[in-house]
Amino acid sequence: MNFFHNIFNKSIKEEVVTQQPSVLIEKFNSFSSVLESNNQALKILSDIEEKTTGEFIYDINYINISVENLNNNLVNLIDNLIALGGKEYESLREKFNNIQKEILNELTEKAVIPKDEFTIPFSQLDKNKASSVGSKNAQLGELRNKLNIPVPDGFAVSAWAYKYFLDSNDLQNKITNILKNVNIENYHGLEIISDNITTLILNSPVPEALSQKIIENYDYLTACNQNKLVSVRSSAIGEDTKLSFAGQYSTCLGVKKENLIESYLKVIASKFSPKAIYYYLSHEHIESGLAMSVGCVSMVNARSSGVIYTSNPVNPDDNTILINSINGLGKLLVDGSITPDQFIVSKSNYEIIDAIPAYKEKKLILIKDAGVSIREIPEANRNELSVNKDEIRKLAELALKIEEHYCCPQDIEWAIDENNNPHILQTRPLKVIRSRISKESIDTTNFTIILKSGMSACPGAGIGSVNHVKNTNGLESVPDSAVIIAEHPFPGLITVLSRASALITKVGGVASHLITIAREYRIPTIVGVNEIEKLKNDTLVTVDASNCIIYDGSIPGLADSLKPENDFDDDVAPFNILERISRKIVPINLTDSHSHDFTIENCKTIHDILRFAHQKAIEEMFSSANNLKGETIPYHLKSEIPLPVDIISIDESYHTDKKRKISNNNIHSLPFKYFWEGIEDIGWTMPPAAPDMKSFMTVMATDLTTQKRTGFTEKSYVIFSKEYMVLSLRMGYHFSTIEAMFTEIPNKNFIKLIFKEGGASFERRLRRVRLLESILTKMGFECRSKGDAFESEISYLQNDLLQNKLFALGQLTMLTKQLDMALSNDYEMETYKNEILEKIKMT
Amino acid sequence: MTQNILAIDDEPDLLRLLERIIREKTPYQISVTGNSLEVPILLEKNEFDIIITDLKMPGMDGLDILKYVRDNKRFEQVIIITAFGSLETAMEALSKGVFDYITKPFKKEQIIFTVDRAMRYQNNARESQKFSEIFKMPLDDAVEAFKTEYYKRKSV
Repeated sequence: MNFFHNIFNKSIKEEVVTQQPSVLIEKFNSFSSVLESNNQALKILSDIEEKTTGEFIYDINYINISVENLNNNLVNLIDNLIALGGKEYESLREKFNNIQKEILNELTEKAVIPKDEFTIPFSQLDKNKASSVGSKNAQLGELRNKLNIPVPDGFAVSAWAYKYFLDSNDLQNKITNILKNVNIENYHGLEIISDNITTLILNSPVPEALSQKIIENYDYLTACNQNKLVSVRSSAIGEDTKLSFAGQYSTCLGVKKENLIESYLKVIASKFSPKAIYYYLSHEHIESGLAMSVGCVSMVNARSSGVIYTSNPVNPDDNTILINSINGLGKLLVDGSITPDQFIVSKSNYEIIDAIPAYKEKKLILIKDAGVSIREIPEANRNELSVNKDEIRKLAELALKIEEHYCCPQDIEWAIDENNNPHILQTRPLKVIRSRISKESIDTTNFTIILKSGMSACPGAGIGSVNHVKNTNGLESVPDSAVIIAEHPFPGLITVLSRASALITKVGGVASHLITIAREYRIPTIVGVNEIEKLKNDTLVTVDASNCIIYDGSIPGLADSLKPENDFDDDVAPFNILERISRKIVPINLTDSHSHDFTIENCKTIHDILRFAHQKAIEEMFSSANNLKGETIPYHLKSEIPLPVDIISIDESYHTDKKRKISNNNIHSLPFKYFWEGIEDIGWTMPPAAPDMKSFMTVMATDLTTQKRTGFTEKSYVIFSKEYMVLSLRMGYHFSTIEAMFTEIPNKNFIKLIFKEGGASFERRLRRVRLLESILTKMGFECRSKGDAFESEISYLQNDLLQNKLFALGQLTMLTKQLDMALSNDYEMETYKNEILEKIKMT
Repeated sequence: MTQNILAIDDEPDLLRLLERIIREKTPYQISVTGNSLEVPILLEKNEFDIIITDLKMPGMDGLDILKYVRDNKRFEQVIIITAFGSLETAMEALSKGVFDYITKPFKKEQIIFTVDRAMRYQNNARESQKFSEIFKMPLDDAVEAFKTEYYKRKSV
């Protein structure tokens, strides 16, 4: 059952007379159990992460079993950490119980609103706060605080505040009752229900404790700002995740203090607009699970605004960025009222491949006192591009930085202010649709083309009767499988999208909210089609949205032939559940074990708990060994390398002289032996010359300020057995922890490296981390870094490969010793990297 | 000739995904049902090459469906989808003549690969059946049947 126990206990019994005191053996047994549980849990965690890539098919049973196994390992891990390190780790159990509870709630789909402050400034937000403040607010915090991206200042009114408002007015039960028997297919029925709930909300007072907090934060936000206006925006829980909820809720623009609370209520009430109710109920969301957090954001007086897609949503492999832009505020773009300028930009060099100006008759501008107003654009300027070449480049750079951070294409809203500074107003994952290589092409040459115009907004083809729709009146009479024709993509259209076979609009770009939703429903869509009047009501047509052609009559087989690949399975319940629980399991926030933030309190996910427990188990184990210093426990390594290493062998006693020194030749621990062979192969060299006095002084300063290190970091220690080692290596001005398992069974084998600090400036230390990262990645390690803290790992290796890696890691350790001092620029880094790769034979 | 698949699972999400994958990523046609008791009727009314079925279901389970196909000496090959961690039952199914089994979770490619393999197998089975029938005929009839087949294929 317990791999570590088995291997160690067996050896200990056979050798019998090890001289290790029983307390150390007991500690080591607990330590081994922590490692075993950690490894098992990490395997489950990787498995879950792999399953969320969209490549796999699984059912709820898989999720239940994985969560159960994960929990068992976590319980075991925490029990053993407490046995090893004492009661100070008791609170980790409570932390785990809380996370476990959240996971179980997700499994049973019980929505829980986390308790939090009523208001939270953007300066305190990051993406992990999404369950408290909604994704829109949380991602703005992430961009601002983690990526240094220009985002207007603001604060979030939390989901907890929303719950407080509902509870204070006893609203949730009333709302649930009203929604109980709603028929979402009946638009007028939806309107009546929507009116009832909206009236209920707008007539309920915001409790003083909450309204006071909102006003206080507003005062603080606008204190140093000439601009006293804010936008009040929805940021509902669940928004911008698998489903975009694009444009489903309201935003109030140009809001002044006097209207702030009223606007807050309006945004909350917009959760119950007919289109919003339709959207979340048609996706089988439970209304009470979608708590409405709100963002109050400093208003940007936008000269131009728009939307960036970091990939072409209908041809994601063409390596382009799509930028839509209009004059003034962005609302007219996202609600589809006007067709924007469109820029297609190369992802490789930010050059504009194509710039298509649109005829823009109007713009929305901010009124100085409050509110917004539509203004005519003078005839002469209507065809002018709304942004220039340099601005496009700047926007593209920002957009790709964001895409790189999130590792997936993004749908980004932006604005350029009157001083020509760009601001990012929102980012969310972009859904892309890949056209499929058709099984068989359909010959369309004999069919009459009615129109060939517009831009593909969702590829595919659909056959149906033409149905012109002007507004929400009569939407329920739109027949199934209709081809819907609209002047512009107005939001109410959402209620008929799911039964449309195609959508065609005259005005509007691919980035409007309704078109985003059309892609979610995978409705073949063409936008910007002139002469829609050529399409007569009730005529049977075939819409080829991939090639923007509308044919007279029915072309059987075309829809099947052009059906795009379905890259997102957001309508599959187990996928959604795993996606949600993986957010509480997989992300890691604790990376730097020497930071003050490396605490139980800051463990937000299961991965954090594992990382914390693993690190603390190693520290506790070394600390236990260190406490036995006066006794005859440690051996000392005899080596040419002038680096004192104390050895604690768990399963072997050595015959030594009084000084208890042993050489590497006599050491039985295979991982240590091979690692140290790599160290000795390079030998002790002087550190590379620091190129300037500044570096030397930095080293001296660091040396003087690092005196307060804890005991175990001052000296190098290794605890090992035949197949396992954990080595805390203090070398020069940095130290690293190297843990390795070396057995006959590849899936038990691993090497983990944690690396931190150095003598040189932070910038140079970062270069060394980058250098290590690129070399280790080349060696097949998985790496992650935060600042100058660095972790790397490789597993599932055959013996011979593992031996080579350990040897190379030993070489690398010596070759990068104090190298940070020499890394004065990126060129030096590249030079050293190539030299090192050559020496460790990795070129 | 289009080749057909019948998929059976009481779990609607899984059935929907299977249908989507087969429709979008393979040239085969697929029919689905969540009610395994309908299977005998569906088999009588239609021609399928492959049956993909979940192992554990109310009504007829995967092994019952396999038994029905084998007892009635039917042409279809059966692919069984088994739950996470039920290897033993899967092995039992293999011993009873299932074409292959796939354990959940599985990669989308895995089902495509297995289905393709089963379809190739079925094509070969049809071919060999056709030629065994020709070999059973008197020589003149056999030559005639062979010629007919030969020209049919040439014209394609």
